[in-house]
Amino acid sequence: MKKLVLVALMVCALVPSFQAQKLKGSDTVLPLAQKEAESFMKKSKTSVTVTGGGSGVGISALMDGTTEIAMASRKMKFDEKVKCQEAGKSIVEKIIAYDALAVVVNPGNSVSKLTREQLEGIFTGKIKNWKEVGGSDLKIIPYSRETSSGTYEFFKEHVLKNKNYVSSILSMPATGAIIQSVSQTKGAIGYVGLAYLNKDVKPIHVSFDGKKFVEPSLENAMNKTYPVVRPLYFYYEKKSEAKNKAFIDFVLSAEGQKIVDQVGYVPLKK
Amino acid sequence: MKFKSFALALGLISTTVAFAQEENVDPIEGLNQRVTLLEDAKTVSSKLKFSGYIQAQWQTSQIDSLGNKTNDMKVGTKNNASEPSDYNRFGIRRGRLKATYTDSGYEGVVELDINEKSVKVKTASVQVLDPWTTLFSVRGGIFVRPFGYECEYSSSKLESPERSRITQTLFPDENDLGVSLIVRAPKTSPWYVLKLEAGLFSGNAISQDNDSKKDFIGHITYSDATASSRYGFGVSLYSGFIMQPTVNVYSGSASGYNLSNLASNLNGFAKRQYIGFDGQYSISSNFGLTSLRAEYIFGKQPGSSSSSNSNNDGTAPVVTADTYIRNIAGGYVNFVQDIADTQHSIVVKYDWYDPNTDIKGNQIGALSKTGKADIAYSTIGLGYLYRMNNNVRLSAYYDMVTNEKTNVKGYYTNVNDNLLTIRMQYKF
Repeated sequence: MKKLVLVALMVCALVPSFQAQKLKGSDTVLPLAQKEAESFMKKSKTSVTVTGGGSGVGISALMDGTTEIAMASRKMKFDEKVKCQEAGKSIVEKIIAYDALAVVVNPGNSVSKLTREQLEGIFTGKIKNWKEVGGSDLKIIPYSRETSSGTYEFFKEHVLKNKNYVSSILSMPATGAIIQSVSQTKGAIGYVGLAYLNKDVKPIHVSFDGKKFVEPSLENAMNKTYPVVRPLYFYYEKKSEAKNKAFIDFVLSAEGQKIVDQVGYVPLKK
Repeated sequence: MKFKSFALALGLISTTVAFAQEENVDPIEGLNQRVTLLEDAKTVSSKLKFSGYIQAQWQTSQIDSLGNKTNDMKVGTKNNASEPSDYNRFGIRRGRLKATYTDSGYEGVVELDINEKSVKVKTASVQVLDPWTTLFSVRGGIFVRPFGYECEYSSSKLESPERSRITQTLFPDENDLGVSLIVRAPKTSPWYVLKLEAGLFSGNAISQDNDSKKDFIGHITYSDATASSRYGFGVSLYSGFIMQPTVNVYSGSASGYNLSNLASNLNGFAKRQYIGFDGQYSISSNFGLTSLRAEYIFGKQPGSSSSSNSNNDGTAPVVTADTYIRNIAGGYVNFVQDIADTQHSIVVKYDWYDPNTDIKGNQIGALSKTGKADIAYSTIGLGYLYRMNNNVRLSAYYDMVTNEKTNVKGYYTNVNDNLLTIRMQYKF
């Protein structure tokens, strides 16, 4: 009987850890998901764990069954869809917010605006010195995210028009590392999600038409004048929809979307 | 019982002592140490990966008018007893266990095929990536021949129970012993869409090399993907040799076979040459994933009077076997359609193999030296797949096999040799 009580107690102690809902993936979505999870946990008393690693990592984890929700700052790729299909997984896609991608330089850099073509030149290695774009005679040191990052893919697709990054580009494992490197390196340039902007880096005004330069800000992203805006996604298995419903409904609710606004991303509706 | 109690008490005491000792360590520092240890262990363990799959199946086939059992059934064995108009067998078609060790540009693979008949090596290879340009890699050992698409396509992913007849005939075991060079740009390069693999192989499949002549195999491919589709195509070349164990070498022609019996033919080499074209297209839509693959191969195949199969035996050629060189052609078209976003798919496959393109069906048996080895086959396969989860896949597949109508006894009309396969696959 004692053994039975002991086993029952152990099972009770382990149950909350089994019930913990797991989110994994995009470092861009990470700060938003963490805030959403904190608020959700207070309300529902359901444990939610959130970890980063990049969109690719999150989607792989969803395929492996090591996460329930994959966070992504890009759409699922075709090969990823096929792998899910082969694994017998039917995947649901939900857009939870929008993000403006900000190009950042060191605060000591005199350059404050760049066209898309100039950004393409810098990140593909054609433009090597800041004086070529109106700055001082200083070597450009471009930083990017790793290839598993959705931000890497999105920036390549929309800003570089699918051209390849210069082979010497410095790949950073997380957005925080880009902020740190750019803040400490005078000739550096990188790109980060809007929520990561702080006083240690200087955001660049961007123009896609070569005429109107727009500052990356929540307001400009919402009024659609800032050109580098992308959706942020949650992916999960259709069969676990019921389990994920409460958290996803919370993120999409007015309260959840208010958190989106507070964290610095663009809510779905405002 | 006393001993158990004593051991338990001792265990508890030592645990308490251990905890007491741990209390003196800064908890954060202790946690850091443990995380570092776990990270180190994870780094080492993540280099070694075990994977594999088991295919358990039940097959039933018709028996032809002469009472022969089909050669297409891949499990079970024949027996001497007469069976009714059809027969069936249980068996493990494939039981694969693969260990892959990957470390900064080096990869070693050992794969075994385990079933109720035997344990055999399927793959034993090493691959080295050049560390300077990361453009070239060299692979050596027993590994898959770089010819076409189906040969390299994993049996665990294959929607039909077997590869097409031409692939099975020309490339038994799929793998061979040799060395190859792979040229492919890194993933970040625009040239990543192109891949070239070329190498020299023994030509005997998974068995010992038995001559000094090596076979060249090369495959160049282009593949790319959009957000909703993937497409690819490739061209392959095989240029090899088969030893002629006698002076008699028969070459296929429109009039049957032409005999060459020069003394120099003895222990000379007949050319084994194929050219192949392959194409693949997959698209994702509201109807589900649609995949279409096709391949066409033609060339020259040395064989014997009774078979056009490539050799997969490491022993010396049979000294009495004359060489028959045939012009061959064949291919397949494979269509897979998922049923919307469910876990169910349907498969339709058509494949054909003509081991002697120089003569028609009604000439086989009528022209001198022609026989069973010259009969062309075509197969329509209809299948259903249920991908239960990440690991389990169930399938039912029906092969409708048609042979040429010939003048060979037993093959005047189409032989009854249709085949049903019910398979359960577990992949890990």
